[in-house]
Amino acid sequence: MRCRGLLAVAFSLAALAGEPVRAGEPARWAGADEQVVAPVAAEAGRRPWRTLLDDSGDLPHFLFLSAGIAGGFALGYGYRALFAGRRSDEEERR
Amino acid sequence: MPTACGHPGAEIARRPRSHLRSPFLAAALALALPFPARAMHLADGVLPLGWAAFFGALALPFVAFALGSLRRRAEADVGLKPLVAMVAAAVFLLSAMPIPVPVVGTCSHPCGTGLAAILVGPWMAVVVALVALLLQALFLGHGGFTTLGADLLSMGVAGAFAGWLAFRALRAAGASLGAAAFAGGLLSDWATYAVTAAELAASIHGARPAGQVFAWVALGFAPTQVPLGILEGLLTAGAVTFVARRRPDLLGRLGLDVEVAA
Repeated sequence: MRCRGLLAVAFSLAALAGEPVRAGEPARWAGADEQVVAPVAAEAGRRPWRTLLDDSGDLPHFLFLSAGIAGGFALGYGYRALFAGRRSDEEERR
Repeated sequence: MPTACGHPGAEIARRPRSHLRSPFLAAALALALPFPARAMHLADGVLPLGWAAFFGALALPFVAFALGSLRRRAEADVGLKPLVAMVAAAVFLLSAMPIPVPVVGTCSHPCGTGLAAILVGPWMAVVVALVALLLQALFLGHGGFTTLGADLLSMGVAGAFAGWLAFRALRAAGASLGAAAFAGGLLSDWATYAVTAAELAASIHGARPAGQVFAWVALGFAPTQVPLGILEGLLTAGAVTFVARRRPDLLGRLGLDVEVAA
C-alpha cells in the first residue's frame, strides 16, 4: 500500500515536472525523426506530407486523453482476463 | 503428433469467451496509447515515390509468403490467429510509444518485432508489423502509406529476422532463455534503425555519397537507440521469460526449448 502511494506521488511529480518543458521548449523531447530524419530529408528537398488526421493545436491532446480514458476503463474491466486468469463458470456461479 | 486435448490450440479453442475478449482487450491496449513517436517510421513525402515503390516491391514477397504461412499454420492450429492478434496489439503499442532518453533529450520508441518473432516466428512477425504499421499510418499519422514498404522492410523484415536469428543462434549455443531473448530484442531494434538509415541513404543522399549519409543518420540514431535497444532487450527478455513460466506451450509452438526454473 505504501509502495503504491509512493508510486502515485512519483508519477504526479513526473507529470508536473514535464509540463513546463512541453510548454516552453517545443524542440526538447522531440522524436528522433525530427532530430535525425527531418534534416536529411530537408537537405534532399523532401518534406513530409500532411497527415490524414488533423494534428494541429490541442486536438491530439483531446483525442489521446479521450482514448486513454476509454482504454483505461476497458483495461480495468478486462483486468482479470488479462492478468489474473479467467474464473471458471463454477467459480462465477458461486 | 499432439492429441486434440493436449494441443495448445485446442486448449484455447475450449475457451470461446476468451476469444471474444481478445479483440476487445487488444483495442483497449491500443487505445491506452500516449502520444505517438515516429523515429524509424518514415512519413509520407520523405522518400521519392520511385524509391517508395521500390521498397514496397521489395517488401511484397515477404508479405505474400507471410500471409500464406499464416493461412497454412492457422489451419493446423486454431489458437494461432488470436495469439498473432494479441502480439500485433503489443507491437502496435510498443512501436508507437515515445520513450524519453534523458541524456540526449529526445524521444524514440522500441519496435517489438524481435519479441514478436520469438513468440510467433519471424514470418508471423512480418504480418504483425504490417498490421501495426498500417493502423499507425491510418489513425496516428505515424509513418505513411507510400512509405509502408520501407517501414515494413526495416521493422517487420530486418527487425524480426535479426531478432529471431540472434535468439535462435544463442539458444543453439546454450545461452539461457533470458540472455538469448535480450540479444534478440537488442539486435532487432538496432537492425531496424540500421536498415532505416540505409533506406534514407540510398534514396535521398542527394549530392553526398550514400555511405556518408548512412553514417550520419546511423550516428544520429545511435545516442537514442543504443540505450533504447538495451531497454528493448530487457523488455524482450522479461516478456519471454514471463511467457515461458506462465504459458510454456506458446513457446513450444515454435519447437523452442523452454526449460525455465519455476
